[in-house]
Amino acid sequence: MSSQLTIENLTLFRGDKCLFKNTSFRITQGDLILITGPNGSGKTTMLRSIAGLVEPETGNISWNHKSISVDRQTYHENISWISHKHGFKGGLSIIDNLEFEAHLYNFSFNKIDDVLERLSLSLYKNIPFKFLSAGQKRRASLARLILNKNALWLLDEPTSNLDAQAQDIFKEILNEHIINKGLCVLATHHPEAFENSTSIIELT
Amino acid sequence: MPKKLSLIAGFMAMFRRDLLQSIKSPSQLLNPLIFFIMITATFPFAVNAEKAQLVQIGPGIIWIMAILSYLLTLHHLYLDDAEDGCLDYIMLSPQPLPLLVLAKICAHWISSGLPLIIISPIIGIIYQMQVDTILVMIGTLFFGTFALSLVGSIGASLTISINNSNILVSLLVLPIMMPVLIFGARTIELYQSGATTMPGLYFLGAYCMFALSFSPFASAAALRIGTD
Repeated sequence: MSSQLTIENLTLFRGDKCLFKNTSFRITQGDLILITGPNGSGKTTMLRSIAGLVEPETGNISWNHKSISVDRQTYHENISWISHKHGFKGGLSIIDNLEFEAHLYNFSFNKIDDVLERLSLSLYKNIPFKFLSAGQKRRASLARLILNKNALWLLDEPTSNLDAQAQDIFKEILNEHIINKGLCVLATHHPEAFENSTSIIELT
Repeated sequence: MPKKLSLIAGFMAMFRRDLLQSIKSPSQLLNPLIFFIMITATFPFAVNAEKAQLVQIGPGIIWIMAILSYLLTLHHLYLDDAEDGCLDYIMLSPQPLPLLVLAKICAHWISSGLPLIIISPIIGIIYQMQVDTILVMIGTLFFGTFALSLVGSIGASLTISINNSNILVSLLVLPIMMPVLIFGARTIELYQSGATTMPGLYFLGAYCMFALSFSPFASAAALRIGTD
């Protein structure tokens, strides 16, 4: 079955400020949607709303024609999420953190060494996460995308703190995902870096 | 073929992670325990009480200090995960959120309640308690501290989006903890005066089970609202 995410008439306010109103779009397999806009325009909030972490004022979000509020578990089985915050425990190593997520998200942990090798993190896999640099922490975040293999990626500034080499690795990973019929919604300040995007949503 | 989602694996992963995290952050583990020991151990010196007075006031003091020590730990229950972004991943997991909340509560009890229970016999000796009274005290603390973790989870989840919420968590949770305090302390006192302890222990057990039946769901709902 072809995967599809449908956003209909999404509206959200933060206090008196309307972040977005009656926003509608549809993503199907192989689509890369970019969300751009200045700081404070609501990119993160829109992503969180799509993920189901924030309740919109109005609007409906459906995964494969089923509202995500009706069948949350199926939706969550198909999401990979990257936000500004890394979502790793500082006192635990990359391995410990990813092993925890493997059980939570029900993905295989067998290829962890290959994944960390690809992200140039093999030497740091047993070091407490808090001792890694900002770039290394961001690379570790990307490991969950490769391991989890979920259909829908919701990514908030995934390339922040990444050096040029790591950004190329990320684009490789993203291209593989899109070619393999994955879906991606990505918030970014640099839409020009993603030439293969299907469409761009600009928030003001 | 995708693996079938294992609820037990999810529960154990969450439980293990939280326990590991608390072991690797010893200050979070030790500060409430040291607070409990310092106050309960030095109280008899401050009041210069006779042996009979210590026996009388001991249960109340131990129970009050157990609750106050617990209140120190509650606001960390979800706040740390919210601050480092882990809470988003927990909430986006296909595992039922109440199950993961219950795992966090169990880990919280192991790291916060169990040390109090283990150290309580020594404190009991300071308050001139007999061995059998100490056993009753351990029984009340066993049920009572687990009930405190369950009830405290609701307060912690309700205040997740509020800065500096530790006072607010305490204000929210303290009134609900009053029955646990009253029955916990009173059960020990009644035993010391020769009465039966079973009604008190039954109440604490029932309170625990009642809290277990709704706290994970209430906490999960509060977390969803709080992260909105």
